[in-house]
Amino acid sequence: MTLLSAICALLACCSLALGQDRHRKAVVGTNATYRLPTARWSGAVLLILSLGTGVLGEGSSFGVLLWFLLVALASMITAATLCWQPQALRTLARSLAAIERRRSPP
Amino acid sequence: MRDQTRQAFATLHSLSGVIASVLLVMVFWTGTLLVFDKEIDRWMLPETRLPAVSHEASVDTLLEENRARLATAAGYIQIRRPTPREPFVQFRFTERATGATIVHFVDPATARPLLTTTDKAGTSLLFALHYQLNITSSELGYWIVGALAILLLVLMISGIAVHRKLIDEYFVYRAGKKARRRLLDLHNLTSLVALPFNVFMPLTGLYIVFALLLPAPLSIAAQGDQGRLDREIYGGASTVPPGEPATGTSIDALIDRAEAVWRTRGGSGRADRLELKDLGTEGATLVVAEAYPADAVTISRRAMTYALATGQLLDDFEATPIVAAHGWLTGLHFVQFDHDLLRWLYFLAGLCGTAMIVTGLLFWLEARRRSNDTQAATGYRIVEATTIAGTTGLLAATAALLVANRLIDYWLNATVFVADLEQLAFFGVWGLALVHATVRRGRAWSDQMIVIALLAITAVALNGMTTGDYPPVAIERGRVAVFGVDLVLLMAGLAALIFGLRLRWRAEEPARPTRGRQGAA
Repeated sequence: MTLLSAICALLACCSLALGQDRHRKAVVGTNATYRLPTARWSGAVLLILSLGTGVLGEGSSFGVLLWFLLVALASMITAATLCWQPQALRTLARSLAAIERRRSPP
Repeated sequence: MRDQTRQAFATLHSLSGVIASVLLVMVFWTGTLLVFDKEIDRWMLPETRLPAVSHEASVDTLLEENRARLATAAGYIQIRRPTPREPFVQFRFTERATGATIVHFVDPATARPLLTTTDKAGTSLLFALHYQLNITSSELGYWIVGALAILLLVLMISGIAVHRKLIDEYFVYRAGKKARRRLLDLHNLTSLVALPFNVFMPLTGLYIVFALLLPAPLSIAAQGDQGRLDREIYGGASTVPPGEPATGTSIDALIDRAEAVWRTRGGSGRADRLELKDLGTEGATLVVAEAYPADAVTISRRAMTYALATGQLLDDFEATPIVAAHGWLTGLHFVQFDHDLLRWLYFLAGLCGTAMIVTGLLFWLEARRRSNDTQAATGYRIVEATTIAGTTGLLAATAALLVANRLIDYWLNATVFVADLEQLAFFGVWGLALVHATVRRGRAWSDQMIVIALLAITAVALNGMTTGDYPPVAIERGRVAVFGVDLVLLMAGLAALIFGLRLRWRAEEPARPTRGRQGAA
């Protein structure tokens, strides 16, 4: 559960970053395949999932504390990835595009 | 926000930052290290490197075997039972004759003494620096650290107010930009990602010393009876009723009784701390407490008080919700729970906070570096020298503390003056770093980083030479704490060496035009 919480926190931060225009451009260029709100909503849902799994796995006392610190670490990793390896987030960007297509098919 | 208001916040941020940052770095850095206080203590006190305890040792036997050593206590003895991070028993008391605090470390398996120290051994210097700037003769240190915590909160609030693109730049670090931009990005990044930690730590720190800094509210609540208030918060008995002394009251039996009751109420229910009070009188009591539970953030949540003579239960303390909230806030700061992942995350967040303060100072210097007039100004030179000494100098002093610990142990083989000599080494190296930074100015960064690397590697080598616990051997012997400290020292040393040499080579390179390489973000 703790590992799941950490993965959710990392994916949440990456999604939230992809929900910002400057980072979306850095990752997928100008041909945006998803809309910014989709990434932001996905990020928010993943953040809640991270908190939920953290509390389920560790109890409320440790879980909340762990969540705050995991999100801090995940934010740092996201910033480093965007700086040095932005292309690593392309798979996530494609997943966001797939989510969007499923929600509102052309 | 209006530009005028933002400018006012910027001035406040800059001014309070320059005034408080060097001391704040020290408080943050020592606090970060103290997340691993027990592990560093195992490194500094090799006699206490025991294997994990497999079963509970009998306290009655331990007391009986150490009766002569405990006879010098002035009426009060605290007993700390073994934990996974501290696999030994500690007897702590104030010596009747000298008034000094004595700590006996005892092997729980054999009840034999391992080491006797005062309360200055191991990480106690780092603790004293963290919460009172090592000003032990008065309360001044607490007041200064309290003021620093308030200033840090002011810095966090004013920093948020100053930031124009808080959300937009949350994940931004532009490695390809100029030094000034990179520093500001790193300052913003380390401030924002660990914002809850950077706010909660000074806040809970202030909360812990609140009673000392603002005693009036508690005095009013106590209504002249401080003892009653203490009993409401921590438990305890006000009076001990007279009774026929039972023959052979077993402390182990009383511990078992308390733990059996606690287990029915949830949690691990293990008594980790015992207090023998008013020894030698008819009113002697035993407090059995779950002070620092391994499985919860909340501390001091349960205690049972027994009359030592009769074994009669005098008080059954279970924290009320408000007292539990107090214990949670305090426990959040003390980090004594047994959770390795959280401990490492605390450590990383602490490093992040330290980096936030250092990058703020460096940005202040970098923003003024280009002007020759500013460079010559006394204010600039003071901030430059204190920043270097407060950053690389502090790290070198910390490494020197560990080197001194091993050297003194090897050469003097005595515990009496060890702590004093260790302190001398720490402050000596720190003072030298300040002098060096004043003389060498910007070039001192690389010099001091190379010194850090040398000291860190020397500390690891000396630990191996004096105890046999070279990193591979330590891991083979199951001494994970020692291996961990060695590993962090080697990594820090290597990083300092790389940065130091890079800075030196860069300084030796002929000046060339800066390329405008764009960052990815």
